[in-house]
Amino acid sequence: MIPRQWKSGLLVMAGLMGALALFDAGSLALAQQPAGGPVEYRDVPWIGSRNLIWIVAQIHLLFGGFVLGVPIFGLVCEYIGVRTKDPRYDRLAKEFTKLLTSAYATTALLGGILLFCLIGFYPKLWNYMTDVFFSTFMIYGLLFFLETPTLYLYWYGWDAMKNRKGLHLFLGLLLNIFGFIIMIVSNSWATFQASPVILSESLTYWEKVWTAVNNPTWWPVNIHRLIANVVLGGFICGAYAGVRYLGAKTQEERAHYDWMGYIGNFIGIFGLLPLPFAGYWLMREIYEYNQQMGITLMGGFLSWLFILQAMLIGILFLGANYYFWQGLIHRVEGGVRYRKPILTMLTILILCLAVWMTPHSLVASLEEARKMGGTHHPLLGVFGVMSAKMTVVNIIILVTFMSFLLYWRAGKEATVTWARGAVMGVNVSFFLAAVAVIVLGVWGYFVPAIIRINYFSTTQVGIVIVVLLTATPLIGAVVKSARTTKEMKWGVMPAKAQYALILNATVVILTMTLMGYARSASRQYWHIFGVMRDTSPYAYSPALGTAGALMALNTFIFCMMVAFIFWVASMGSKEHPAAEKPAMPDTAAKKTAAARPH
Amino acid sequence: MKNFIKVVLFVAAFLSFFAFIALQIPQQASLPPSIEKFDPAQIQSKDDLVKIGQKIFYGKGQCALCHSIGHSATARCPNLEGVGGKLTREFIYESVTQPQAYTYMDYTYSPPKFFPARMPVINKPPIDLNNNELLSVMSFLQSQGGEVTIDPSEIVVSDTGATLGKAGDPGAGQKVFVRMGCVKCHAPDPFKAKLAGKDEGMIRLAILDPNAGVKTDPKPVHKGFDQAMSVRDFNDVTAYLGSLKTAKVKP
Repeated sequence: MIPRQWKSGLLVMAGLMGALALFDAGSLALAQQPAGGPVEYRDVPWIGSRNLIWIVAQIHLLFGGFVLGVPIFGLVCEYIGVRTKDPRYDRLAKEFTKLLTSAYATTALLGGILLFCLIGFYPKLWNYMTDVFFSTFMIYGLLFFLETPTLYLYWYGWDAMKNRKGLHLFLGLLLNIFGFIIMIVSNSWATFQASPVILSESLTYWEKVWTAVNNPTWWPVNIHRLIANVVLGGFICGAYAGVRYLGAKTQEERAHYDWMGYIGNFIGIFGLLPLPFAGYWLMREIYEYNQQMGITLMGGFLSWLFILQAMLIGILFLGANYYFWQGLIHRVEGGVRYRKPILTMLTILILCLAVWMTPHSLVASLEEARKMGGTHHPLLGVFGVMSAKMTVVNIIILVTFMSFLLYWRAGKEATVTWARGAVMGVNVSFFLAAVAVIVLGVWGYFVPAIIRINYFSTTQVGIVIVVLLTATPLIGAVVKSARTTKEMKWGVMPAKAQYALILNATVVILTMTLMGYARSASRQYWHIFGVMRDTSPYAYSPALGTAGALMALNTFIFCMMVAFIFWVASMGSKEHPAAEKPAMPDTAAKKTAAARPH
Repeated sequence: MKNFIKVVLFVAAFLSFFAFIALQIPQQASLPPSIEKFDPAQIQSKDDLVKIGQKIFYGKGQCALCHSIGHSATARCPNLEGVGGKLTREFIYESVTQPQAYTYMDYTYSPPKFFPARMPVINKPPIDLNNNELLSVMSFLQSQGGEVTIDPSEIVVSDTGATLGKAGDPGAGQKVFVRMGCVKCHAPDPFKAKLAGKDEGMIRLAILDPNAGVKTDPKPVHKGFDQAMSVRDFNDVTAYLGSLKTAKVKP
């Protein structure tokens, strides 16, 4: 039975894909062929080859992130299900793994189109890349022979292996390992373009390949993307649950999708917290590799991009926290009493975000600049530098984690004697960490940049990580032994909370498109930085207005395609997911309430 | 269905909001830099060389990204003020082309660690200065508290057509004609070698790109003269050969 709400999505997607297919065929036919000599570039009318590649590559990469993020998400949920014996986790993992088969095919389709576009539009670049990376292309292809059967075994063997969960989890792990290797192989190509290394003639063939693969930004990008994929998987799960919740007909359905939204948001935030640290490492490596590239990104024409990024990440943190707070107020009986701490946290978050979004210098008229005494605002200018931004990012992470701890402990009464001391210790550690982060941030203004970057910023990050890693098991132990006094009520969240979930997923996707543009634009007019110059008419990076419109378009297309895949996947299930298990989520929740974060 | 449409509209509205904000911030495209033309013909004196070197130092060479001339709190690499009085020409050349030639050890570690140079190889990509540009930058550095020992005659004509339109000295060109060995094939009488009466542009092209327009003999014997001649020699010899146009009517 086809859910009615998906029918329009199907029509929109079919129309869109048909239009794209027609357009593609027409434009390739019009491709220009320069006379004489090897063809270096081809173009298409109206949209231009660069924009076409941009759209195809962006959507392919988003799907890549999706098909790599979902298995991580699925494996984690399945593992929690095995450990807690809560069948909801297993069902959730299965529901999302079902999407993989359709999403996998779409990713491959887009990858094929991207390859044809690259060969067709940028033959000079692609010839060079093939010379350097040909063996990795082969490895990349072979990896799919491992990934694909593993995926089939993992998905089709779900029910068959229900009594051999260890083996099934192992398959899930293998799927993730192959997926990770596929990701890092293709990352090597893109990172080589940004940070190529000298391939000395004295090196053997394989030494050359390895030198090219193991370029300076390869591992930072690998780690950054791995974490970002977890975030993407989590927030897309949340958005899916949000949409289904809004359309749910029964309380049982609402309870199921409410719980699913909570889990998606939790996993998304879980990945989001370390993401700024991974981003910081990547930027450090970029500066180490080439200061000019770092300055172009952070202080050059791309500097305003980071204000947009701050805006998006700010919305994401606010959205994720807002969802937690809505859960506290609506799911926990008597949750209104949390309004005061929520207001405090909201104030801190908004202040921090205001600092994060303060630009370093302002584009002002001469008169305005004279009044200000320069391009830096006399008061706000101090918030525009990295010392302030690093400080507030760490505070935002601490506040978000505090939100989560508050939610985790809600409706529980400690039963162990040391619980009070543990909670007090965690609170004190949060306070001291915040003070230390602020002190280091202020001190950072008075030391050379190299000292701040190498010691102060890393210490700030280290302090926050230590607090997070200490507080989690401590509060976990308190909650595990606690007695539930007020049960969580699932399926009572307001519609605005579901829109927060949808917004979070949209923001994550949009941020990925934004940072993809940043990474690509940081190469400026080079196909391969410092090695192969872009001599095409598109050897420029468009202004952020144009780029922003394309990012929004890419995000919208991706969202619609994912909606289509969800709809296709839902066609296969005869029963509603919530109806597969007769027990209400509340019942299962009672069994394991003390064993996991709500 | 109604809810789904609401969600689609919500997403579309948010994305439109983002695109709107992106349009409100300062719009600045990153255009590729124009390819700088190094015109040796413009170099008549050491001062010219220094001026061009200064331009490259702050432009294509990207030296000022890390170095400063004079004290700077933000410079990442050594202050180059007075460097001309401290370093020899050879040392400057080696420093920019083989930054790792003198290896330093970091003695804060035990055993001391190899200290990698921050300086990029300046005549390799991405900066990739050519020999003429390198000589100009070195002149600029020598001018910082020292004596410029690089002579404009060391600038070689490596760019086709780079010196077109610049007059030389026909008298000096005659000597160059002999010195460079042109006489071995074209002389003793240039008129007999059919060099007289040629257009000056064609003479320049024949030296710089001997294969241009040759149909019968694809192996020109002129190869390498463009690299061997200084810009002054090149201007003089073309001026000399160009002057033979008027001489032709006399004999």
